[in-house]
Amino acid sequence: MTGTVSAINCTNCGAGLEVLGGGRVVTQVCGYCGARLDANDAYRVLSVHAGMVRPDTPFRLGMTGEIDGVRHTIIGTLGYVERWGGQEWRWVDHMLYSATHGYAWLTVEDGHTLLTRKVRDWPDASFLTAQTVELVDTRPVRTWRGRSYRYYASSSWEIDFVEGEFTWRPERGQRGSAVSLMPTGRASDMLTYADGGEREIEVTRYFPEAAATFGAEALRPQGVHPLQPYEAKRGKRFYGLWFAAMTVAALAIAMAVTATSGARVTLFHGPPADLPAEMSFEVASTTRPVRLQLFQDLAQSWAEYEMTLTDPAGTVLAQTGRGISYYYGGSGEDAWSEGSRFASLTFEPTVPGRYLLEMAPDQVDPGASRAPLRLTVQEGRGAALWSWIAAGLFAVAFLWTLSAGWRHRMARWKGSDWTEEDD
Amino acid sequence: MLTRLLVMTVSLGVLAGAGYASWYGIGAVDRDTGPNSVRTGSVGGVGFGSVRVK
Repeated sequence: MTGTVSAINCTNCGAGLEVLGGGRVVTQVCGYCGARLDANDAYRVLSVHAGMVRPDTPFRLGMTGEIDGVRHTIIGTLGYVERWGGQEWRWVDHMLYSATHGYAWLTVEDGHTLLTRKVRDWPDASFLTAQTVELVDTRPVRTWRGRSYRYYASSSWEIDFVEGEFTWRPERGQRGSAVSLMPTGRASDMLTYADGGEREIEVTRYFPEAAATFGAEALRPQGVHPLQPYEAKRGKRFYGLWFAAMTVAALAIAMAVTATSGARVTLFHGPPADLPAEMSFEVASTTRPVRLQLFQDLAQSWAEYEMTLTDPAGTVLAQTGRGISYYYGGSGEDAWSEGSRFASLTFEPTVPGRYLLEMAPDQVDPGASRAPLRLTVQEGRGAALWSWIAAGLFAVAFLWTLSAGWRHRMARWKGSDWTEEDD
Repeated sequence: MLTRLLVMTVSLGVLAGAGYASWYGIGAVDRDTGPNSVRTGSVGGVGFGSVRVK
């Protein structure tokens, strides 16, 4: 007559331990005293690892849940640590057992949960190890089930906590390495070449429903996990359309402001010496500024002009001056220029009517006296710059919304240890 | 829904503000102009785009 053992007493400390794991279990580690027991040899004590610190995980031995319609039980817990460059990464693996589907792994990493299974149909190319990755010049790629997987990262892990049942003999301090690859594009599973004594290839997928499935306390995922698929946030479509509409509206306003400026009327065009003492021009509307613009085709010279502007009521609106200077030199990449051939006086008209401008050369470089000066006046000058700035801000918001998927993919690959120099 | 309303309100405010400032040329008028504006000095070196200020 045969039977199934459902519980044992630890042969080291006597604590009651459930036996949950099926016929392939070879090791059971007591959660009370840390004794490793040989499940194939009457639970003989193999070694004792006292003082292990339980890793942070909401999952416990004996919890059950359905994965893809198949009942699984948590039978083991392993705490891993990877240390490199003064930094430390920790994650927890829970061994899962199904009476009909065998063994799998539930991983807790930065609050994210993942599901891992062994791959029986290995990719054709050679087994990847951290050493082989170090030696190659191009990013390693493997094809599995018709999909291309690119190298993501290598890790060297160490076990620092063990509890429960396992189909192998894990122990505290045991080391191993793994090389992981991910498909490009939107797919988000990971192929891992694990080398921890025996070599295995595993496939891991994101499994956010794990806590609910096993009735564990909900986790708070931190950051974007490499395996995390992109999920568009609520309202993305709305915000995209909204900011696109705002951008178009701001651009339309900027163009309308420019298009509705008044015609540019020339008040004078000729040598500075011929400037009349007084010039007048009509202003019909006082709602928008008026601009007087000077242009002189100067080369290596400068000129200054006195300007006095009086409104129709006789009020002086400006008693000032404007200078124009333009210097340049060099050639090719060393070419430089300084100053501008343009100067302007923009004022706010007080009343409609005829405005008087008194203008005369103040100090004029001899080289500038021969260059013709053009003076124009333009009504209805707006400041389209504000609308251009608003359009720019809205466009940035639009692109930010639109690029959410791309930014998510960048965040997923951010942890890759393959550097650009290697590419 | 509240976030959407907030985003819509803020962006409409920005658009309206920018539109108003653009149309009426806010910031386009030179400092040295205005009723009874008189020159009291000069900034910048001679011949280098100097602007006289009140």
